[in-house]
Amino acid sequence: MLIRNNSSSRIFIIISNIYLCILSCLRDATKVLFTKQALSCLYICLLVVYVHKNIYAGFFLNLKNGEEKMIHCASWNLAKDTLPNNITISVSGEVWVAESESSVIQLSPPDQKIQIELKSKYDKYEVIFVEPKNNNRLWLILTDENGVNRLAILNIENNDMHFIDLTKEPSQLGWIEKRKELWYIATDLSLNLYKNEKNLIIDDSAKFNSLLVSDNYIIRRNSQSMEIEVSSLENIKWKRYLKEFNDKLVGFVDNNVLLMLKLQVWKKGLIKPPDSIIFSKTMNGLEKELLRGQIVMAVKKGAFLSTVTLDKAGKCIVNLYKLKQN
Amino acid sequence: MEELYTTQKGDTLFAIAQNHNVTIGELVNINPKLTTNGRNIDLIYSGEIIKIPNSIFSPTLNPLEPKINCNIGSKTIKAKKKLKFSVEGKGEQKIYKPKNPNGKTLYFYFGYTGSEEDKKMRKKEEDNLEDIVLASAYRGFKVVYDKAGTKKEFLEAINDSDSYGIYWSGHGYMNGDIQSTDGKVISPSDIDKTKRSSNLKFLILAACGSGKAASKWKKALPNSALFEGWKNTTNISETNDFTSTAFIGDSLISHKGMTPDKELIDYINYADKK
Repeated sequence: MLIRNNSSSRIFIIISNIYLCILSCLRDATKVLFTKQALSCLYICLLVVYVHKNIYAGFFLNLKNGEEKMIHCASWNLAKDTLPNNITISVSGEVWVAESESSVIQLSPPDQKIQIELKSKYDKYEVIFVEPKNNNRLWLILTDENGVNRLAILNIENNDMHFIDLTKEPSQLGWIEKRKELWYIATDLSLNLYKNEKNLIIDDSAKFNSLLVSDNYIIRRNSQSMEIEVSSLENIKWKRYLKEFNDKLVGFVDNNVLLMLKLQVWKKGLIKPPDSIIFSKTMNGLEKELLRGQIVMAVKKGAFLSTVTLDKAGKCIVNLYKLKQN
Repeated sequence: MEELYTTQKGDTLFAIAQNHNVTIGELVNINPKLTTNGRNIDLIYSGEIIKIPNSIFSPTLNPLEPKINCNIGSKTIKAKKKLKFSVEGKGEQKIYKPKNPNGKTLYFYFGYTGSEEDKKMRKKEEDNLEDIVLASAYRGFKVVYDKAGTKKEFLEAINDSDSYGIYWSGHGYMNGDIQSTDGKVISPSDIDKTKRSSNLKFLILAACGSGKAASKWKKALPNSALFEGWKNTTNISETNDFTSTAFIGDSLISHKGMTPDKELIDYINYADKK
């Protein structure tokens, strides 16, 4: 395995600190000013924030109604023609990207980028799913050249990686640190649980194609009826949550609110695809738009939201936002 | 010169037209009696003699000649012998069943939704695709041609053990997913790897953005299957270039992801190999 590390520059941190001082004064002033004038457009200013000893530089976004929703912390360009297989965020706000060229990339604010290549003389793997575990460890789903999916744990401190035997081939993961439970959807679209080194098949009577976990709840989507079902983790009993759900699950805001990504269809003849929308949805069906743009992928973990957008040239950009807590 | 055909019990105008590779309109034009005096066009009397106009597939064909050449664009599809096929179907789906089947099934779908705009879009692509459908049936493929492909049908086609190839034309999403006629989103993750046809030789998604997730689609298919998808947007003429097998030239560049020297018929040839 090999590590490439483009570490952040000191100069950037010094400049960021200066900005922090200036903007901490300016921010409240501009907010009041713009709110009073009731502008009907976005206003943006450069901002730096501290999160878990990291400095994030980015833009402060204020939506049309004056309600603050999120802070844009950072952006990274991915290599040309790279569309990640999956992205995720650690509790400290680092973005991890599973990408097709046998590697997993860590994007750490402000401009750090670590690429861990999973290549050996004998094997070549594609990383199709990455999920943070704990203590600098990652859960990975790797596909070998024969298309067989395997679960692995990667220690990013010493690059040690070992495989875990599961009864079924995994395709999507959800790790619940508090309960030490790894939920996964297998390639036969069954729902499974791996806990205490035991593999439990939770439901192989139906097929599922989407999974979302939180500390208390689990959500799954039936791949045929497209119904979203929810269950408490304490007592597994599935309740229908939403019918005919074609959007992508992004994350929980809290246990009653979900974030979704509504992908817009790209029709033949349209040069530019229409905007996709990230919105929140409550149990009673109330929807609120949060972000729109040419978003192809999104994930929300803790206070962070990360998106993958495409620019005009088809280049992928990974964005990180910090959500404001109400 | 027209051919004469004596109708039999159970014949329908649709089936006669399909079996002779002509349209109902062409049949009616050459047989005005079918519509005179307010006659119901679907009413066929057993033993009635009707004229069959020349088919595009056998304009100069000697009935005893065992070979047919179907010229489509710049390429030639050679049929091993004169294969006849029957056509069954209801609604938007037709199934072409050759008399001497090669045991392989090809699926051709339109996944457009029912909007007027989408219907117009589909109409522009139909002519080319129908030529390919007929040519494939002549070669011995069982062909399922569906103008309103649903998600369920797509996944069934992937899982059908006789399935050798799937062509899907419709709208896509920027993340590489596609949309079906019933408005559902189809993702690579919907494919059950334990059920998919191990015989599948190609999946072509003529949908904007689908090529962006080529890696995911490929992984969801058996190793022997080829995948092609449009990376960015495309337009009808580019899609038709691909299905007509006509010379494409520079216009292919805009497909960004299509193999320049390959057209739909090349994939069918690949599926036909033993």
